[in-house]
Amino acid sequence: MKHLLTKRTLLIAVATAFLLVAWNREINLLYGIFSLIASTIILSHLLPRFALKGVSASRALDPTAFEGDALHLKVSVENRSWRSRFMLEVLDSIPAAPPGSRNPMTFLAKLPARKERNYSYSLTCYKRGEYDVGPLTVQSAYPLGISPTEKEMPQSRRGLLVYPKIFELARVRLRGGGNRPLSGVEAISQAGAGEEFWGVREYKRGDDLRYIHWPSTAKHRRLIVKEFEIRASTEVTILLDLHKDSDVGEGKETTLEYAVKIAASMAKTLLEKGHVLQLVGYGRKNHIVPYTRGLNQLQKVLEELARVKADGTMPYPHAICQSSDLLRDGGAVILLFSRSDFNTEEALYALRLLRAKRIRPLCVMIDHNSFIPGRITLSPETNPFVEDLTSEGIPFYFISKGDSLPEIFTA
Amino acid sequence: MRKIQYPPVYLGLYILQITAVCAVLRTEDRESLFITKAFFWAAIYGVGLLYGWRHRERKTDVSQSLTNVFLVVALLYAFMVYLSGSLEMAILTFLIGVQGARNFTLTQHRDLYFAYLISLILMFYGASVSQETTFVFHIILYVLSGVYTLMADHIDERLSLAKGGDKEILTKGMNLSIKGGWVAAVSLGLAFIIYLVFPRIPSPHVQGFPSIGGWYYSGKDWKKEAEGGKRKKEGFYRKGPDRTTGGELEYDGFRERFDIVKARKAIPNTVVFHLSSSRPIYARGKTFDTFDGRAWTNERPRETYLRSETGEFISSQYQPKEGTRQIYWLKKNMGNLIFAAYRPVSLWFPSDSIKKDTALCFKAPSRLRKGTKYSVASKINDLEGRPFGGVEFERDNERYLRLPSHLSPRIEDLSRSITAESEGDYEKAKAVEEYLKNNYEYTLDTVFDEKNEDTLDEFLFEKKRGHCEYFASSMVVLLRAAGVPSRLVTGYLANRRNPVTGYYEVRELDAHAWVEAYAAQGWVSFEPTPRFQFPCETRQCFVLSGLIRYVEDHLNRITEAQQESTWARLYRFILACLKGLLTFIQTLWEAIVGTAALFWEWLSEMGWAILTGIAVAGGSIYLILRLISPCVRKMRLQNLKRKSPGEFIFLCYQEMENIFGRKGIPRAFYVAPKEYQEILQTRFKELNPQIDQITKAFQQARYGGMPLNRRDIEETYQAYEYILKHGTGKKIKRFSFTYPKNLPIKKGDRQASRMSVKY
Repeated sequence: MKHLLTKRTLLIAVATAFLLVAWNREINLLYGIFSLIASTIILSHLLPRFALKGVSASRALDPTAFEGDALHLKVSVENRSWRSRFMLEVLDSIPAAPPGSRNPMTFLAKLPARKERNYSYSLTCYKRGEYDVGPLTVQSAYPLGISPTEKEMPQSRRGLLVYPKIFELARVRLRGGGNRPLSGVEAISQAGAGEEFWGVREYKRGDDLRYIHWPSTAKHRRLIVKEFEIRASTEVTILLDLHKDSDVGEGKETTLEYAVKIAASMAKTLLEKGHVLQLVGYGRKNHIVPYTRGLNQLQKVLEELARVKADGTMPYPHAICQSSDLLRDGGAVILLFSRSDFNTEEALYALRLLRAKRIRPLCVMIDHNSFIPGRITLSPETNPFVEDLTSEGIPFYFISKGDSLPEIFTA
Repeated sequence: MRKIQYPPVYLGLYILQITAVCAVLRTEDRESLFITKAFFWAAIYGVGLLYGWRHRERKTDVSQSLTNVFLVVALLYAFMVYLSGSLEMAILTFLIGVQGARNFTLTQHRDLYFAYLISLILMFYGASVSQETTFVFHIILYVLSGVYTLMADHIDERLSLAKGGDKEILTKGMNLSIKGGWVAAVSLGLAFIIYLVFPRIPSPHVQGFPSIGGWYYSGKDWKKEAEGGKRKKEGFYRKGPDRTTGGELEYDGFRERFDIVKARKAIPNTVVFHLSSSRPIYARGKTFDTFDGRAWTNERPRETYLRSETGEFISSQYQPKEGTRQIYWLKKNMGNLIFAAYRPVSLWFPSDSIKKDTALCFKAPSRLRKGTKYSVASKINDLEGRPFGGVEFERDNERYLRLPSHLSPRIEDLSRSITAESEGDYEKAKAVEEYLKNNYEYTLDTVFDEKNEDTLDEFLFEKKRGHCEYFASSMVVLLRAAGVPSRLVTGYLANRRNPVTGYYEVRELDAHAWVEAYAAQGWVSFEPTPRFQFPCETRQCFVLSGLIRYVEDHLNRITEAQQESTWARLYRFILACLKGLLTFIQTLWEAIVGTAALFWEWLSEMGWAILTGIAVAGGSIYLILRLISPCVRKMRLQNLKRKSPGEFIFLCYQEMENIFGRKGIPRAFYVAPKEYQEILQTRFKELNPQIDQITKAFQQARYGGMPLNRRDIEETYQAYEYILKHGTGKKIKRFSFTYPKNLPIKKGDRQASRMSVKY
């Protein structure tokens, strides 16, 4: 019904009504009103056909951007004809923009003959991904907006790669044997055995009782442990879960988006520290960025992370097993579990397989229940896999929807 | 609901509303009252819209209170108007008041559409009841302001969605960046053409008839008149020489004593009434039976009272709405004569009582006032082009045969000589009519001596020129001398239809006298005056012909005085142009109608079979070609694939271009194969490998300089087949290429590029 109530149909209905009454009553003045409305309708259909002659538009846009950043668009509209053009609308299609702003429009009331006008506006990049921007369309419904005519600007389609959002991390708690001790070594402290004394700190659950520093304990009347520096891994792999069921949630708030964000942030931190990094994900196609270090590697990783989709069929424990061939002995791996209801036995098997290769995993558990509206969020203590991780001595992070990721990873 | 943010919407709406309100006020009020009311409403609407604009961001309690107060006032005012007697005016007043009140809170598009609706109703009413030519300016202004408001509304709608551009500038203040003057001019021109050439199909006349109103005439006034008492609002009328029937009208033929010498003295050219009728008519006012050689009187007017509570005075002999329908709008105060075409069948008049005499002339209880509206249905028969009331028995023929006592014997001799060879009353009447028309000259100049008591003798035998009253009186006397009962009729000749309003404009100068003779067992109208023709029913398919006639009529009057002036020449030139245009349109129309008739005739005989055969054959050939052509192309390609791989690749690429060209993306001459590939690949992602394969093969064959291997050729053919099979989806919108700027292309280059496409 709504599509019938347009200006065009209403005007035609009014003109018809006037015509019928004029015909029935033979009132010439009503014929006059009909004629004027009819001429208006005809002109409003004819004029837009000529309203775009000689008009062209172009748009300037950076090919890459980060999620959450402003996207600056510069629009240039030119009229090469000898007559002014009116009521021009430059329509664009920016799928990377937030919902509701994906078809931005620039309106020009008048574009004088042989003139060019430039405008700019900004949009926020809503979500990471690879997008086709455009086409850029010039439209005019001059004078009444009844019958719009449009012209698509050639070669106005552009690709836009939106990188995932990166948050700042002080460091990543990685452990590893490391087979290249002279490159990318990061010293991290831990309570327990190590190469060099680092300091003391308060006892935490899980610390070995052998490393209690008794003099300090006696002095402070609470348990104090000694910390030693250990050598962190130099070769890190980030393994993504790209199983099609692993992406839970809507819009930006999905488990995959959280995982990608964490992966990107960790990748940046690690590469800045000089580590060698590899990215692996098994989706419909394999997303593998082999080991390299440096900022170029960061760009490659970010590009891949911008493109990844949860469209694979490989369960994450299988992916861990499969990726073990790509991991170097003595390295570290960051495992991003996008679901918490996987097969625990298989996962433990995979972790043991990694350990057999002297690969130290760091687990990030994303509670997918928290991404389902109405579902009760479980605490990490109730998760059996978390207990297993604790007992295996594998460090882990537990993430729920809405958590502040910088805070969690800084703690 | 979207809020209005573009200020010119308010400006357009203001003009629109005021035009509509003025259109209604003009139909009802006198000039002075109209101006007062127009200013009042213009001020109210202006303040309201200004307030609405200022507070468009947020409705305040004050604006709501103002709206409510105005609504109550509008309701009370409308009720007062209703009490004064006009329901339709009360409704319209209420609507005007409601809109005035709503303007204070007009901030959203919902309010805008409501304002459109109200203004449309007002204009509709105004256009329905107005008979003034100048009303067309209201219509033009209304439609143009409507167009402007719609345009501003469209801008407003787009601004609400716009991200940048002129948004800030336009929403800040009254920025009229688009004038639209030439659009208005083109729109008016086109509307004028549509108006002129739009065919006017005969109307079904559903409802709308009869229509009465304006003033009410009570039957009690008969009594007052008989008693000689003072009538209500006596001073309202202008005093004339004989105030019994003439009213403000200067024409002598509507008074009790009709002096034919003084009939045409100083008659103004003012409109007496507007008439809505499907055909031109003689609007009869009065008949006379007694002539004294100088003046006409009615000796024994036998009048009967007709009474009706509803104002419907129906003759039982006919169906009430049978015949020619007429609606009269009186534009001048006049006597109590009710004009109607002969022979009136039914009369609807705003009174409970009227008088009818034996000649079927009607009288109202009191003088008719300006603004009165009444309706008549008349049975107008046609007897050799003459209006004929139909067969009726006349018992009182004696008085229609009475001659003046001192009639010149020359007149009787003349009568005998004219009618000597005619048999029967009708033939005699025709002979006299023809004689007068052919031997006498029509003039409005006063050429007679006012003291002469035997003016007819002077007219018939000496002057031989005069106005219609002389002709009509002469004919009546000549007919009576020949023994044919006849009477003189005075009234108006309503034959000038205003092409703008569609109403017949009857002016005082249109007052006319003609003759009714009792021949062929009924009263037949005769027109003895030269230059005058019987008003006959002429259906005008286009209003252009009416316009030409109207303009011609007016121009004739102007140019009569100054034959060789520049203006007269210009008018004649315009008239000639209009006539030429009409002739062209009529010829075109006749050609269309004639061709359509011929085609229909041919179609109904054997054309349908031929056309069906052609359609079937054409369809079959098209289907066969459509089925065969891919096979033919494939065969050709396969043949080339074996014999000449290079040519095969070229042809394959050309075929691919053809396929996508048919789908709306042809390759322009300046687009390189690689660019074309990119364009195609953005739209046909599923065909990317195939497009890539063919393009690569083409480039290798054309520019590579290396021979193609069998595998590439086979893959290219497979890619072509795949595109042929899967690339026949929905046709996309035609892609427009813009020639790159600053890239000079010479004629030779262009030709070379074209050739490269054709290989």
